[in-house]
Amino acid sequence: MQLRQHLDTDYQRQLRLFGSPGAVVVAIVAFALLMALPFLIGRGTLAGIGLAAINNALIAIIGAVALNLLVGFTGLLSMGHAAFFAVGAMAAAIFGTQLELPFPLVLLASGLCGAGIGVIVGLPSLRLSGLYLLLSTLALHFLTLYAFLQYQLYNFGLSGVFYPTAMIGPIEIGTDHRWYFVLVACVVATILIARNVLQSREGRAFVALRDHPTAAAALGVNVAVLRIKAFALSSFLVSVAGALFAFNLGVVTTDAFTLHFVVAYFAMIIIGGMGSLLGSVLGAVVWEFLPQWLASAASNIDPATPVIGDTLARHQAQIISVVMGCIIILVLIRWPAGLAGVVRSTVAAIRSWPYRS
Amino acid sequence: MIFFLQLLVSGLAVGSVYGLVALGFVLIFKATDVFNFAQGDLLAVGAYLMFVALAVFNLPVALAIIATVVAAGILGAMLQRVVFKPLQGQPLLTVVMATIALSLIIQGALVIIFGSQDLSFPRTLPSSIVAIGALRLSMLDLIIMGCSVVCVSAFALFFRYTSLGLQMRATAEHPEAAALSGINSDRVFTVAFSIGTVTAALGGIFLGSLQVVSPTLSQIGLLAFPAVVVGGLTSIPGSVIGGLLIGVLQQLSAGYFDGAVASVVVYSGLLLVLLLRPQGLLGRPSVQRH
Repeated sequence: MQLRQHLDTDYQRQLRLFGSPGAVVVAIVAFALLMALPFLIGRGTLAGIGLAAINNALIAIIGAVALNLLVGFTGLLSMGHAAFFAVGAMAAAIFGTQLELPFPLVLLASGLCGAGIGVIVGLPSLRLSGLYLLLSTLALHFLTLYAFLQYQLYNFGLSGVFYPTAMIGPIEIGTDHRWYFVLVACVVATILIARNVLQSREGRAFVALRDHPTAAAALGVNVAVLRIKAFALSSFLVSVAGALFAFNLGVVTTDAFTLHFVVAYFAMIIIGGMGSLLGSVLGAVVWEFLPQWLASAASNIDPATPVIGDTLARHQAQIISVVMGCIIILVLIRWPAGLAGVVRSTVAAIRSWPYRS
Repeated sequence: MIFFLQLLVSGLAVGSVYGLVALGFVLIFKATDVFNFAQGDLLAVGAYLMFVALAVFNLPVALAIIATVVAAGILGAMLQRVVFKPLQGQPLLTVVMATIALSLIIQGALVIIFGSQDLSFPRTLPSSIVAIGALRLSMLDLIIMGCSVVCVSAFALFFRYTSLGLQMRATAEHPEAAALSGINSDRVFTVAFSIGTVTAALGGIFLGSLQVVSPTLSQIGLLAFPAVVVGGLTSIPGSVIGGLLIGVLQQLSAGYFDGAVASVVVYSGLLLVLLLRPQGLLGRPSVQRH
């Protein structure tokens, strides 16, 4: 057990946006970097990462934060992540493509649809917990995907659901450049929402629910209502991410939302760190960028190299999946708290220097 | 009516494979508390091992099955030692995630080694057609049903009458008490993983003979989950009955409608059972003390 370096001695400290003057500096530098990033990259790549990949990572961050709220903070296991992405994408098609509502309104409507479905999906959690909840959400995954497939075939046909170019007012969001700023705004909003909720009474109750449901109930937490609230909040955010994902891609088929998709998001929050917002961000970034680095490293190896060269050239996706699988198992065994845990202990070690933490 | 009966028989054949895979799954879950999401992938591994034994080593069918079973047993023991032993006592999600990671690794590795094209066994179990009246049955279906019944009864006898079986039941019932009375729980866990992998591999051999050997076998193996839940997560006879039910349900709805509807029917059934009777048809409700 590690002694915490800073104990919050009054409630105002909990409520402050920035914990210390240093945090203000970090936030300003981070903001400046975020704004400068697309101009640094331009049309090329930075360390092998292009702007399109960064946009994907930004969407993944929203999804990972939402999943972490449900799984990492509230302790509810759900395999319904891809299903909520699909709900968001389907709602986006109904409101955006068919009813031609403005884009910001479409995002909101998708989120609300997701939250509504989330409440329904959350209902089994009142009776089931742990593995049984996991399996009931697995069943819902297949049912939702079937609904999406039927919707797609009935309205759009085999080639997939189409989305118009997103418009905010008169501005057309047609390039990666413009998408980047929209997505950064969404990510910042998501993280602020999550952070504020977690500091509220509800947020602390979520954590209590995860750690000891009976004790939480004894302290006056309404377990049933809170579980539903957690599902609603998480699926709202996931569905917004789903709508963004769909509009960003332009065409979406059911094949996008497989169980692999769910696994990827679980991997993100585990590599990043369960129950940590910083972890969700780090995990999503690592999960999106590492395959790109692996791919570019692999393409540097001559295909004529004996034994591995040929395999590398032909089965890049599979090699990446094997490597990522190994990384997950390694992280689970060596650093159960994920990257966020590593960051936390490093910061603690620096703060307490020259003493050992 | 004939159509219905044919579907019923093929459903029972596929269902008995699901039951077998589900049995291994329940065994691992009962003994070690690991909810093994990679069970479907182990099934695919079994099918590929069989393919290697037949096509590469040119073994006769019976020997190839034995070789596959032995290899699968060793693989299961290795998995327990390398992956799951260090994770003992970790929360549910951690262990589930490790099995999912394992599934990623296996799926990738299978494609890297064997390619993603469909393969079929060069020699298979006999597959002639047997006619009973107007009903035409595949010999393969009957053999698979027979083999599954034999395997399940063999495991039942093993648990009932051998010392190791008794130790495994004791560990499943109460791990600490079992360890206190001198049972080597490490050994029990390893054996449980071995047997679980062997049943998955047998399922792979059967499914590989019924269909083709391809990486998608692991997704078919995923249907062992509804089987397990419908039967009851901790009940061994339940898993077999659950497997048969799911198999019949799937074949009937696939026969009268189509494959996509079949998965909807199966998973709706799963959801219904979870909501109305979470402990499964044959499971005992768990009493929790906090």
